[in-house]
Amino acid sequence: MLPGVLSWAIITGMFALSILKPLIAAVFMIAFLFYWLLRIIYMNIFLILSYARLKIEKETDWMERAREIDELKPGQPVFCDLSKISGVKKKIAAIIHCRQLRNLKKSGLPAPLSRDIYHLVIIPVIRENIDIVEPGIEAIKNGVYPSGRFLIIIALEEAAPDTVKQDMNKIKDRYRNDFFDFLITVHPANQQGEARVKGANTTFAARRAEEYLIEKGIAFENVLVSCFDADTVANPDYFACLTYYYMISPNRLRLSYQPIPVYHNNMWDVPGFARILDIGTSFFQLIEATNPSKLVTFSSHSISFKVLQEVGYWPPDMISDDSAIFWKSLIHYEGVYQVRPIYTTVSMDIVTGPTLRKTFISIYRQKRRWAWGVENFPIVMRAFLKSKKIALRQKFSYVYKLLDSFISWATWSFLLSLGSWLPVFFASREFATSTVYYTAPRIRHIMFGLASVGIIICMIISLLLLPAKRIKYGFLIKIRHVFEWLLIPVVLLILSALPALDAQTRLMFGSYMEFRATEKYRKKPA
Amino acid sequence: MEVARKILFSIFVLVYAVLCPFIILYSFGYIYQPEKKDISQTGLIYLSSFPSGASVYLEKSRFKNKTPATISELKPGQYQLGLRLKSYRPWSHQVTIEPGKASVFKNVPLLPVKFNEITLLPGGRYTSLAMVRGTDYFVVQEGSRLKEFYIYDRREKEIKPLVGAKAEYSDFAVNSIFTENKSELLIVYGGPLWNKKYLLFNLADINTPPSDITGLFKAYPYALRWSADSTKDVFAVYEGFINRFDIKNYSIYPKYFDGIKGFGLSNRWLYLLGADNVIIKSTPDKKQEIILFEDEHLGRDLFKWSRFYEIKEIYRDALVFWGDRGDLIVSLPPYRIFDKNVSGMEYNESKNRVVFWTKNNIWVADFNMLNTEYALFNDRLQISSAYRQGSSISQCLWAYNGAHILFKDKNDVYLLALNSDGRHHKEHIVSVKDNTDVFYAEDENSLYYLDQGANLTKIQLFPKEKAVPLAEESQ
Repeated sequence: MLPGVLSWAIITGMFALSILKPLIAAVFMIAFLFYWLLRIIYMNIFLILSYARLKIEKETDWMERAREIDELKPGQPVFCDLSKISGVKKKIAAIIHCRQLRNLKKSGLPAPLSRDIYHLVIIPVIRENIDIVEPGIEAIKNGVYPSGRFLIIIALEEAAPDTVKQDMNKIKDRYRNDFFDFLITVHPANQQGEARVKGANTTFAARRAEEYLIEKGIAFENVLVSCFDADTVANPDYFACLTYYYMISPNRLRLSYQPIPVYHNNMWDVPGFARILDIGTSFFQLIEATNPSKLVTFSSHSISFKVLQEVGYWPPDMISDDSAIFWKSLIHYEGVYQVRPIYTTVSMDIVTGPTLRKTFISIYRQKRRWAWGVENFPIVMRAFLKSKKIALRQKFSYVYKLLDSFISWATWSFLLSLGSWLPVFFASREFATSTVYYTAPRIRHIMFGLASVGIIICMIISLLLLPAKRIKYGFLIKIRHVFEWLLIPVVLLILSALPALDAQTRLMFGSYMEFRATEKYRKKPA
Repeated sequence: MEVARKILFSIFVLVYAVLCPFIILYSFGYIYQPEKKDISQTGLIYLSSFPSGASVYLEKSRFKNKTPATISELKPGQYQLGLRLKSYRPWSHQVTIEPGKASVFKNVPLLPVKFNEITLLPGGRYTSLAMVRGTDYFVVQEGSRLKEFYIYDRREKEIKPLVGAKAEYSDFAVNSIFTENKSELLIVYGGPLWNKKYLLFNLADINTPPSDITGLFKAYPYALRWSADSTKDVFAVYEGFINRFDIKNYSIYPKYFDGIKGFGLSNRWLYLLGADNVIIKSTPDKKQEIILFEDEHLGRDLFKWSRFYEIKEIYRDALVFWGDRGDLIVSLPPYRIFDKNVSGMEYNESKNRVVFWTKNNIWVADFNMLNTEYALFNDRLQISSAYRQGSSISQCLWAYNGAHILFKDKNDVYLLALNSDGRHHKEHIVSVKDNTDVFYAEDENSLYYLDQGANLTKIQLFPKEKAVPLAEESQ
C-alpha cells in the first residue's frame, strides 16, 4: 500500500502544489530536475562501465578458467602472468580473474570441481509452442558447457493446450539423448495454497527435481538451477560462465546469479517503441549489475539448488517470482545473501502480438506484471521488522532501494512530462511576476539538454549491443533504430510509468493479479 | 566497481548538496557579485513583441537577443527599455526592476510606421458606419433614406443596398436601426411622421423584402433586445415595462414584465431590475425565475440616479448596471463606480474585463482578479484608470484579444497599449470622418472606419500571422 500511496501523493501533490503554491512547486521541480540529471549522468557512467565489462569478458574462455580453479592446489600461491596475454581487454579480464582467484584462495574454502557440477534448467510452459521453446533448448545443447551435465525440465501446466503438450513431447523426444536427462512435469491446476502464477509451476517442477536428484545421488550444492522463461536463449558461454562464477565465489551458497537480459530473439519483428523499451530494460540491468550489494534477481537467472531447496522454492502465490525468490533467500539467510552479476547474456523475446494494438496491450500488461514486484514490499518490511540479525543499515538500504525504484518508476515520467510545466500552467499573477517563473523553464531546458547526452549514449550502446548477424540489415535500419530513441519520453510515460502506477494502485486497493503469459511471436525465416 | 560506485555516489551527493541550493537561489534572482564579494538579488525583464524579432535596447545598449527575450540578472532600479524593428514605430518604456521580480511585457504590439490603408468603398459619399456586432456585416449610410443604406459584408467584400431603388420602402426616412450582437436580424424604424414603420430585415437573405412588424409596436421603445439564438422572441423595453413579441407568429405579450427599470439579456437569462430595486433573473418563457438581490435599502441607494439601467452579465451573475444618466454600478464591491457621466462600456470576454469611459477618462474594471487572487478584505473589483487626458472620448473598443484599447477622441483614433504598472502607451492610429464610429474586427486585427474623405477604409493594425498569440499586458 505504501508505495502506491507515496506515488499518488507525489503526483497529486505536485498537481495540488502547482495550483495552490506554484512557486514552491517550481522550486521543487528545479530541485527534482537537478537530481534527475545527476542520476542520469551517474547511471550513464555505470552503463558505460558495465557495457565495457561485458565487452571485456566476451572472449573469455570460461571453461578454461573453471579448469584453472580445478587445478588450484591448497597452499600453492596464485600466480598471474600477464606478459603472455595480448590485448587490453584480455589483460583486464585476466586481472579480474586473478583477483577473484586470490579472493577464493584467501577464503580458504574449497571450490567444487567443475566436473561435479550439474545444471538444472527449468522452463515453465503454458502457451508457448515449439517455435518459442526449441531455440532455447538448442542453444543449451550447442553451448560451451557439456550438454551431458544438464537436466532439462519442461514444467508444463496441466491447463496448457494439447498442441503445446504435444510440442513439448516432440522436443523431449528430439533432445532427450543430448542431455543428462530430460523431464516433463505437469503441474496440476487449482492446487490449494497456490495462485495461477508461474512460481507455483516452477516450484512443482523443482520438487520433482529434488526427488530426482536424491534418487540419482547428486548433491544439491553441486546443482545450479536456472529458471528460464520459455523464450530464453542463453548465450553459448552462459553455463560455462555461471559455473565459473559459482566455483570462484567463496560464498556461492549465499548467492543468486544474474546474467544481463537482452531482447534479441525477435527484436526486428516488433515495433520500434517495443524495441527501445526492452533495450532500456537491458540497460537498466547493466547499470544494476554494477551494484551487487543492492542487486535483485530479474527474469531468467540462476541459483544453487541447495539454496532453493533450503528457502522452500519459489513462492506459489506471487506474480513476481523472479524477484520474490531473492527476497525470500535474503530473509531466510538473515541478510547474508546477495546477487552476483555475471557478465554474459541471455536473450529473450520482446512481447509482441499480431497487430500493433495487441502488441501495445501485451507490453502494457507485461510491464504491469513486472511492476507487480512491489508486492514484495510488505513481505520484506514485515520480515525486516521481525528480524534482529539483519543490520539496521542493510534493512534501511533495501527498503530505500525498493521504495526508490518503484516510486521513481511510477512517478518520474509524470513529473518530467507534466510536473515541469504545471506550475507555469497554474501560475497565479504573483508567481507569474517572479524571476522563478522565467528562470525555471530555462533551467529545465538546460537540464533536458544535458540529459539528452544520456540518450545519445544509450543510442550508441544500443547500436553496439545489436546482434552481430543483423549487420546485414545495414545502415538504414541502424539509423532508424537510433531515431527510435527519440520516442523514449512518450514510451516511458505510457508503457512504463503508467503500468507501474496501475500496478501500485491495484495493490493499494487490494486487487489480485493472475499471471497472464504474454504473447510471444516470431516471424518465421523466409 | 563497488568501491568506484561508492566514491562516485559520494561525489554526486556532494555536487547535489552544493549546487542545488545555488541553482534555486539563481532562479530567485540571486547572483554573486565578485566586485562586491556579495550575493545580491536581481530581477529580470521578459518581453515579446508582435511581430517578433525586434531588437531590444536596455538603456543605451543593444541586447544580443531579439524578441522574445529574457534579460536577467538586472540590478534593482529604473531602466529605459526599448524595441526597434524596421518599418515599425519604436517602442520604449521606463521599467522598474525589483529584486526577485520579473517585469513582463508580453506581445508588445509594434505598430507600423505607416499603416497600409485599404479603401474598401471609395466614392467619398458615406456619412456613417455601423457594425452589426458579432457578424461580418456593416451598415453603411450615404443618406437618410432607406435606399441609401447599404450592407457591407467584410468577409465577401461586397456591398448590397438594403432595399432596391424602386422597392416599396426605398424613400422611407430612417430614424433608427436596432441590431443585436451575433444576430443577423436588423430592425429599421422610420417613415413619414403619420406612417412610422418597423421593418425587419434578415441580413443573411438581403434580397428578400423586409417584413413589416409595425403592428407589434404601440410606441417607440427605449430599446429592442433579442437573443442571437432565438428567431422569434424580441423584447421591447419601455419605461416601466417590457413587451415581448413573437415575430414569427406575429403576436404580442404586453407588459410581459411590469414595474421594470433595468433590463439585460445573456445567452440563457433575462436580467431584470425592478422598480422596487429587486434583481431577478428569468428564463425568456418565465418558467424559471430566481431572485438575485432584494436588499431594499442598498438597492434604493444604488439605483437612485437613473430611470433605466442597461444590465450586462459578466459571468456567473456578476452584473454591471449602466444608467441612462451615466451612473455605473457593479454587483461586487465597491458596487458604485460612477454616479454620472459614463458615456459607454465595453466588455471583453477573453480577458473578462470591462472598459468604460467618460468624456475625458477611460477606466478598466478587471473581473479576472476576483478569480485568481483572494486577499482578506480585498476581494473587490479592481478598477484602474487607463487614460485621463481625453478631450471628447466617444468610443472605446477592446483590441488584440482584450490586451489593449482602441479609443476615439474627437476624430482621432488611438491605441492604448495597457501596462499594469499604469504607464500605458498611447499611439495615434488614424484620423476619421467627423462624428462617425469606428469598428475593430478581432479576427483580422483590422480597424474599419470612414476616412476623412468619407470612404470606407480598413487598416490592419497588427500583422495577421498564422496563430495570433494571446496578448497580455505587462505585469
